[in-house]
Amino acid sequence: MKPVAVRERLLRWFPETWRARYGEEFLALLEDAYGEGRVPLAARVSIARAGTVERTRAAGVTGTFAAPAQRLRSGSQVVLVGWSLFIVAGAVFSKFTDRWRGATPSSHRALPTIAFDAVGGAGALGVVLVLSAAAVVFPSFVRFLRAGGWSAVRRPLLGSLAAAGIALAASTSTVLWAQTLNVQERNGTLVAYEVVVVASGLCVVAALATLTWAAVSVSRRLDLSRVVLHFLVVDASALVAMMVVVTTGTVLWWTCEALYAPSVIRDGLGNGIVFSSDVAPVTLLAVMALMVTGLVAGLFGWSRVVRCRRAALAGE
Amino acid sequence: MVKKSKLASDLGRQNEPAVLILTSLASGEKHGHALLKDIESFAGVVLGPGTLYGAITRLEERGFIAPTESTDRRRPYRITGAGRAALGAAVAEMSALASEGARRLGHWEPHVVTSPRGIGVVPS
Repeated sequence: MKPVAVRERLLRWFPETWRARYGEEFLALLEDAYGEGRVPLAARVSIARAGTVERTRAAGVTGTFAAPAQRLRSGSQVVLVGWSLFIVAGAVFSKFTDRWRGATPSSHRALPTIAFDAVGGAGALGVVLVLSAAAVVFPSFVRFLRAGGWSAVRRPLLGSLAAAGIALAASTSTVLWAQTLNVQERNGTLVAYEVVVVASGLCVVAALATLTWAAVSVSRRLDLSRVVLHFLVVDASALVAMMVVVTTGTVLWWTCEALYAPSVIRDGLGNGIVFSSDVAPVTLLAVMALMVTGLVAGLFGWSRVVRCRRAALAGE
Repeated sequence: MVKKSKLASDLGRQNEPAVLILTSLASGEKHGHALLKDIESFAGVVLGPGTLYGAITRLEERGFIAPTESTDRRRPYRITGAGRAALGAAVAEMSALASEGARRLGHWEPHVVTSPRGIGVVPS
């Protein structure tokens, strides 16, 4: 690739508004510094890092450069991204805990039952909160499309719809195949089935990621009223509360089962793939890593929402 | 105790790009590459292009530097009044810190040396 093309490609790390203001002089600097030679790796890293920082600032995810309403919206989007990690973690947790009640002594079942039901309830409520936010934002989306905004969001929307379609087809095929297999084949003796289950799971994760990307891409372009912004503040706060409940419930359930029903942990989905443990199986460690990452993202986004809500709602 | 002023806090620590850029521009306007070369010569710090322009963006937003008219793509920048005040506050803070350090070291007398990597201080 020619040096000019490489430099122009490096410039794409930065957001469009930044490129419009500083792009030409930045390219001139690269020309002066490196001539016709190769841009060194350290300089590329410096550019990638600075470009990412500028993108997060321009989107209102960090800093105070963007308008308060934009920062509020971005904070809500970060909460949504955090919640999407909980969806993945919740799906894995649900599969892991398929038959835990029967394997737990009845004398020790009360507390994990409360924890497990809290996880399920908070998960369901979280989904309702996300759907209600989508419903509240929907009229703005329709206005945006009527104003000719389709071309700006076509790529993420069509991409997410395609990914969702593939995930649905993969999941349906897997379920239909599973109905033709016996219990042993479904639980480890048929390697091809295990591979298909993992592949369809990855399709679902990819679909969820593209749907979240589409939601973020669309919502940052919408003109939202103060009422909608106010709703997003409440919604994001409630969603973060659900994240806390889900994480706490999972930790509590895990602790109870590890103490009183180690066979549930030992025989759980995925235990033994990397290592075996009666206390900390790789599946639950992965679930917890996803939840903690999602919770950190959620708390970060929520703190942004709370900090700029007054200015945003006042229309500053 | 050396107190950090608001203006100095805006710039960060002494070796941070914002302070280096303002120090460089204090002696006259410069464009990106000239800034990199000057900073390397007086401080021995090689800034990456992304780091330089990240700092330029922030300094311009705060009104500490301003672009000047240019006939080509290389746009020079100059330090503004607010930039001079911020740099002055940062320099005063660094001086206070240096004095405090020297006082606590007692008989220690620094020798300022210059090298191709910039200015340094070594104990006697």
